[in-house]
Amino acid sequence: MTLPASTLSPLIARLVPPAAVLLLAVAVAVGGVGFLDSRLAAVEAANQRLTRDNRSLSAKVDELRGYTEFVSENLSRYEQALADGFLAPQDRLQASRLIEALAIEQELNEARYEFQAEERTPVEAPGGEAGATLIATTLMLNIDALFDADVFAFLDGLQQRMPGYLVVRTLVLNRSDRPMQALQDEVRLGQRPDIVKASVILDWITLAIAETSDDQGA
Amino acid sequence: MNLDLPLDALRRKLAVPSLPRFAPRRQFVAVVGNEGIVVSRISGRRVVAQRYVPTPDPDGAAALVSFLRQDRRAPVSILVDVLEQHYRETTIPQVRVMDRGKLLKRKLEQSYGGDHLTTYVPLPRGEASEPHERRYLLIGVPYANEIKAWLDVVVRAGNPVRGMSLLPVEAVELVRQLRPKPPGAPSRKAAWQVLITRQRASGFRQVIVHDGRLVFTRLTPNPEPDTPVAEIVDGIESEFRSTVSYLRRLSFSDADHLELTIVAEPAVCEQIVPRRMQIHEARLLSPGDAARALGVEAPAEADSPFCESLIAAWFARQPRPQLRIDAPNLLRLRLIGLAPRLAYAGALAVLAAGGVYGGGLYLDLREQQELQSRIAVEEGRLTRAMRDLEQQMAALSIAPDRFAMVLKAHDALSRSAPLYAPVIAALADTLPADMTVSFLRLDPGGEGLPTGQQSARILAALAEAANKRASARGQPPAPPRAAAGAVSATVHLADPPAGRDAIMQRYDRLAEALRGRLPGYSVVIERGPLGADASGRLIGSVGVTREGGERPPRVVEGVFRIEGPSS
Repeated sequence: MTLPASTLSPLIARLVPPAAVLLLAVAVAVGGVGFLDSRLAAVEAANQRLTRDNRSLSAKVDELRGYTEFVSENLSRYEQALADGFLAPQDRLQASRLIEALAIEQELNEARYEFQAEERTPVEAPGGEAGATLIATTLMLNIDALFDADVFAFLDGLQQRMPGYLVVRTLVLNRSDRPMQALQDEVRLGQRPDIVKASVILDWITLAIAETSDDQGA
Repeated sequence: MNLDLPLDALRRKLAVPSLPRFAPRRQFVAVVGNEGIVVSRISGRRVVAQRYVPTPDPDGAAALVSFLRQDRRAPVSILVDVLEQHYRETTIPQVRVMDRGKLLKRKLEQSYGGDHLTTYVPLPRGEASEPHERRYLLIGVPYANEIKAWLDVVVRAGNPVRGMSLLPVEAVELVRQLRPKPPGAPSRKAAWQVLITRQRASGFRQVIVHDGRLVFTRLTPNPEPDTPVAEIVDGIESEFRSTVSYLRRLSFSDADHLELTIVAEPAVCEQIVPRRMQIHEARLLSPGDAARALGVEAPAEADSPFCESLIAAWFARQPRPQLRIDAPNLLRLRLIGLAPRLAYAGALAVLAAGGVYGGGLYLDLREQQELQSRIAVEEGRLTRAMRDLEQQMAALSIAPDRFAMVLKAHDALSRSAPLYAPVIAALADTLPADMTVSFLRLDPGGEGLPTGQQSARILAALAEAANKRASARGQPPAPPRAAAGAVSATVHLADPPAGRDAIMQRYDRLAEALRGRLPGYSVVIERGPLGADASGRLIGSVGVTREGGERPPRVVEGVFRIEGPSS
């Protein structure tokens, strides 16, 4: 049994508002949920990005903090190394003048010195970059002296006052085999016999660092 | 016939109140009878308008349509109060739920045929029932032309339809509400209740209720309009006596308590004599009185003899009918009428679900936004910390890489450079006055290094540090530590004692003294004096021709080898 046309129109009219309400509710619900969902996704993505950024920032801060702590803890040693002339260029003329002055100071009979050709070896920085050059020069000394103490005092003085790092590689010290009494007599007479002869090979080492715009040096 | 509808019985048993009413405030209630139709327009508790159309009246039908269309949104409830209504009990075996409906439908068709409006209701189990049987009441109302005509009017009007019900069945609740038991009153044995009302559309309706259940019902047509009151009273009383006679066949006795309620015009109520109806008392109410008792308003019928307004106003207040018996077109309309409700319910459900889900999303969003704030705060803190550290680094005026390079190179040099000073100092301190060092040799490991080996040692030490990941910001460089070196010292004994043993003892004492002075070093006599060690040549001579006893050798020298410090 079908419904008469006069009934259908009001029925349809009656159904339109609830259908519209239903559609509106669906639109509102879907739209609202969609908006919130997209907003949530955006905020979550931003949080992930910010978290990553913070992580790398934290790593940088830790690195910097490590640097500053490391520098603070070892600054005195660094300054000592600079004071010792570790970064100073190797000046052979100055070095030879120092040898001569020390030899006279320690009253050596004679000190003969020879600087060999320097060797330059690149050194990698801790980060893997080539940032420095190790400069090693062999210094050969032949010393004649009255006493072995004079020789050691001379070498001590050289190590302390020579800029850079001075390493004794080999030392051969010979005492004269002449009778001691004869030697003592000569000394009493004001002579200066070569009681002790020493041959010393030293390595004179400094570090040359490539200057950068950030490098302020010591 | 016991018509104890399950839900109401359960509700009474459990003393559960009815659910809150959600009935529409505005509605139409139509009472359809053999003599016509009375449509009442209800607003809240009151009847605001009413139309009566006798059967048949085409013009009246059109007027009725217009009347219904005065409020197109108000739903229509139909109460059927025709003469022919059939109630038949039946029993069916216990079958599956899906088959039960088909079985009952077949029974209805067998009982009433296709020209009846039919329905069924379950009945409670009786004492005589078998455990595997179920009792049902089959109800059938002939789908007469007059009913069809009025239903077509309702359909034509286009109003929503709440459904069609049977007035006698619904009146059971009316009986109960009109005659409630006073609280604390003792229960009487087998209370019978009879309600007599008069409808303009149908006539005098008697509803007989026993123990809260509809037993049977009778309908007497209306008298002529100008019938005297006395005749109406006689008619009511005689019909009631007939009813009582019929009740006696249904186990009613004079000892049973019977409550009679008559709703009629005041003039009729004044002349009714209960004694003539063979009962002790009767409650006589005008429709207005009954309306007040029920809490409804039917002002149009304050003195009216008819109860349509009362019944309509009361029925409109009921949460739901006891049962529905819909015609096909009404059923379709009712289902269509559900569509808006479903749509609104669906909209509500969608909004609720969306609200719940959206609420969850919103809470998540808030949480993420709070997290973002915390991250931003942390970022600010880290940025400030980095800035402070950069300022500290700038204040130090040192590039970190350069700083690390200098320290590491310096430490590497220390590790690769042998330290001889302690050995030389030890020799100087421990040598006795009669022993001198005639030859001294210092070399790292005893080998003469060619030029360039020192650089290689330094580079190796630096590479070792790099491999151990001792970066500028990591572990500090190891403290400087001298590499192990070797010292060979030839010690000359100026005035050796006479015996070889004594000479060896001198050198052994010197070795012990050096070991004590240089812990961590290895001190050995590499070549002992007199060739007494296995590496030397021991020469001696004996014999009786020797003069002066044993003479010490002129030159006594021993070679000490001192290596260290050990790691």
